[in-house]
Amino acid sequence: MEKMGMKQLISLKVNDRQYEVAVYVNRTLADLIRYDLGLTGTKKGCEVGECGSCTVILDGKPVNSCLVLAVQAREREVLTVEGLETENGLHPLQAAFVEKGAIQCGFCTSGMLLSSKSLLEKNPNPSENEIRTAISGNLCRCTGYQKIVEAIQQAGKEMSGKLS
Amino acid sequence: MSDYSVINSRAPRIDAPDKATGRAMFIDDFTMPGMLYGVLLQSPLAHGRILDIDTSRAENSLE
Repeated sequence: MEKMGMKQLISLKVNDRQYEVAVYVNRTLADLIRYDLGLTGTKKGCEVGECGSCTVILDGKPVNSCLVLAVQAREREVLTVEGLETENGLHPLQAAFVEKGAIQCGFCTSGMLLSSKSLLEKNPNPSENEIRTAISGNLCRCTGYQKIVEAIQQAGKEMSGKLS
Repeated sequence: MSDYSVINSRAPRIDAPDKATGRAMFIDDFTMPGMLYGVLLQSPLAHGRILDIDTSRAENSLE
């Protein structure tokens, strides 16, 4: 990538940790996450916003981090796949993906997890259609969609069960 | 069938937890000191005979 202008110093929070990074203005958020912060769980598939493998949660909303400039994330909060696990172990979505066989090659997994986390936060008991809509921006080329849908349904049930 | 302990069971993938947490390293996730990048150079002609390829710029960039 051609370097544009001078680097800008930005601060942002990623997975509850504060970072200060100097970035060129044309640096994407995906590249900042992968190359400046070394969080390679965020994948780059197409780099044009088609595949969803770079999905992260920016201030509570899922975004394609390849379409967001790093400077646009200034003073904001990002959640990547590395931030899902807690000291109590895997997030219910991660556990359900593992258990239900929803992970094959694993390249789409981070994006799938973050899109579905976003869905379950708004709608803990989604229908199959609502799940398929929520992950429609995430392509799985192993084509294991059925198990992914089942995993999300199971995680939703577990999470809402715990909350009530 | 029920006598088998492995066949017909739902064995979880051994690498699934690593992939679910982002810890799994894919080939594009590695960096090494002095790492070189390969680029595919495509012909501007649909059907041509390669007579010569000038690789000097790429070779000079090794330093």
